[in-house]
Amino acid sequence: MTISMGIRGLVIAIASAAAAAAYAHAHLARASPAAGATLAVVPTEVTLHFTQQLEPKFSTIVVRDAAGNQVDKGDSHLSGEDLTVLKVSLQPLGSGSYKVEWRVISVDTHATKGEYTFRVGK
Amino acid sequence: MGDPLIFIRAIHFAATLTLAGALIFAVAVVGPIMRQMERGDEALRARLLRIAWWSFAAALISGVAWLVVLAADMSEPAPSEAFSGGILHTTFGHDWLARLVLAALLAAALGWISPKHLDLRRWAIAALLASAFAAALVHSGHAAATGGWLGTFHRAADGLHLIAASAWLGGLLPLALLLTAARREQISLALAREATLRFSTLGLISVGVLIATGSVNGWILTGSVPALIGTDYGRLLLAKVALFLAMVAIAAINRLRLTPRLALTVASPRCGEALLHARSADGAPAAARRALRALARNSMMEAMLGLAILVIVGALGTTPPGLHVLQPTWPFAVRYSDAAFGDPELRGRLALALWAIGGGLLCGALLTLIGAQARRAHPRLTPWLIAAGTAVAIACVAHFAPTLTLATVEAYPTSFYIAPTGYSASSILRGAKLFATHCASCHGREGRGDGPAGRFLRVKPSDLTADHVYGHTDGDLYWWITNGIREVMPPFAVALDEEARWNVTDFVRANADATRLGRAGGKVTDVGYRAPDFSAACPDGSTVSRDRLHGRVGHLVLAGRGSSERMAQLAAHDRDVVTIVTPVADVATATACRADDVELATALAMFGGKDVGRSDGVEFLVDPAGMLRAAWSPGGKPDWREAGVLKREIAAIHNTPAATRTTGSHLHGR
Repeated sequence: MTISMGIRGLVIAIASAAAAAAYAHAHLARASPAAGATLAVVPTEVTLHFTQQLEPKFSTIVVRDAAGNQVDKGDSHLSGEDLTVLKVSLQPLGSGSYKVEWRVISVDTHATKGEYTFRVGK
Repeated sequence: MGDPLIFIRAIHFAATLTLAGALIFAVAVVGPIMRQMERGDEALRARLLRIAWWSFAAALISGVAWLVVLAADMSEPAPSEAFSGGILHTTFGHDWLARLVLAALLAAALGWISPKHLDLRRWAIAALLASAFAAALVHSGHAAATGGWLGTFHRAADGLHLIAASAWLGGLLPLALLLTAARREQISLALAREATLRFSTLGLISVGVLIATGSVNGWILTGSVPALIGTDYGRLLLAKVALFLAMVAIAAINRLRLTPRLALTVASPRCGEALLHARSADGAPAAARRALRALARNSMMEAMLGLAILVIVGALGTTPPGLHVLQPTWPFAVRYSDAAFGDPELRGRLALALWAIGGGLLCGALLTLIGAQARRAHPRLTPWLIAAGTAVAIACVAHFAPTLTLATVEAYPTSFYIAPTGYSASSILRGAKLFATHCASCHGREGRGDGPAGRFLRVKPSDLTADHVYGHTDGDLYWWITNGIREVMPPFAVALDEEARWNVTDFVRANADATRLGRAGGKVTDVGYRAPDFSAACPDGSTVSRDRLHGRVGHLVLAGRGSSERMAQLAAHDRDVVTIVTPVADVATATACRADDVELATALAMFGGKDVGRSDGVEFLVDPAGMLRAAWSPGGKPDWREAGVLKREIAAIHNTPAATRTTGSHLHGR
């Protein structure tokens, strides 16, 4: 009885683990500029808030314009006081659509990535 | 990506726990009684030492494998970084270096131990180092990522959890070896019994610690019932708890039934040896030997269950904690709703039912317990008392349980989903457009259930601005939009994609809230209405947002060309207020923060009851929790431009936090 329970538990564990492996860990809680936002004011940096603390060496934001050119300054860094906030500075942006691509590793060693777009100008 | 890591983690946990467990077993279980051993003690020590060395080697190899697999995973964004040692500059890397130092010390301590002589001090030093080696695993799991004082608490609980698990789980293999040795008469039965008793005391303490610390960790990482039963993480955790309970049940059988049988042949440990041999003819030792075999078998069964638990632990470490899963699947057709507790009459009935059920179960348990106790003195009374106890319990539960359904409402798999749209201005506005196209024909342009097509329906379309909307979660609304309502409303899963259905949900919520906020007329409301997401850059370089007002009240101003005078007036705001300008047109301000999203003004105009073209000058107060509490338009009474009026309303917000609405969903703030 107990052994069969143990085996069943093992099977459930392995199956669930395989199913869960596709998910991500540190989730994006909020972004500035926000996803889908249309900005009247030209932003000078992108700030992303995550649900977990991040590894600075392995967490990056890349911002690209519609043509795919990188428009950030390549200085992704954690906000000094808060290890859950990742920032990157931007080159002067013109009107248009921009894509934010982020990839982070949380301090519990799990990688997550995602992307979203925002617009500058009406 | 997680698959090999699950098993590497499981192996590493098993090796680390066995290492610490064998040493704790040597110190706490057999060490103190070894002096009484007449034979077999040296062989036992040699065996324990061998277990320690083998598990030490397994821990080292699996530890290195873990590091390598992780470095490969991490190398994607910066390929050279991880392998050129970058991984050693992470929290995990620091932890692994610290554990490597512990491992070196531990190797020295193990090498210092000689099985020939009993030197408990050396064993104790090794046991301490091995416990630290196990506890240091906290920095490689989810506990590492919890911030602040809660993180410290979380890691402390996790460290204790690992040591307690070592003491119990890691001691099972040594126990089984000791019992086998006793069966082969390599050591005495009396000592086997003594060791089993000591181990079960250690196990009892471990179980207590495991339950307490496990509850703390489980709650920190799930945090809600839907996250516990509706996510992979939560379900793995429940499977782990089930296996743990099975282990406890086996341990209870060992302690309560099998261990006493060893005593049948042993009057006291001291003269046990003599008795064992004296009575070997009458069969009593045969019973004891059977008990020994059963004990050894049960210990191995517990160890197997423990191994299954460690595979689950391996999987849990690579699964996002339930707390962070936005879309837990609710498995039941009903859910608890505290709306019923808001009704004074229902509240009374529910409280009575809860007390009656609790009291009934307690009475029943007491009667049964008294019956069991009276078995010796009044054997005839026992069955009556137990029957009466059972009857009382069943009657109370059967009579009052149906009342509890008053506190439940219908639920759907998506009931506890959190909208991925974040209640942004663009989502609400997109939802408004979709609503006008797909929903307004029946529900009406403003959602009041008065659309032209609705008049011909047998069931009138729902008024989406009425109170009942607040009895449903965002997830409920999303479910109905997706799947429709039988014979009442068609499904929109085909016409609208997932994001669009969340946009409509956001609009329905905003529309109902806007109606209520509009009625309050410049006075602060008791209930908070969730503000559309906003963030703004302030003149001092900081940013504020709906979720990060840092304890201040947000004063949102839709400012246009005619607002210069008002902006100058607001420059003298107090420190507990932050002024946020949402430009409708260009406006100069040196002191206010400036919201960046151009759609925010349009969304807020909706809450102010205006079209965007005429929303110039509309103002809002947002409480520190990000809830809209008051709206005011120029010309409205009381006049916020008069000295003292706005101040009074802001003070009212600081003095009375909004009553929480159970239905609105929001991202947990962390």
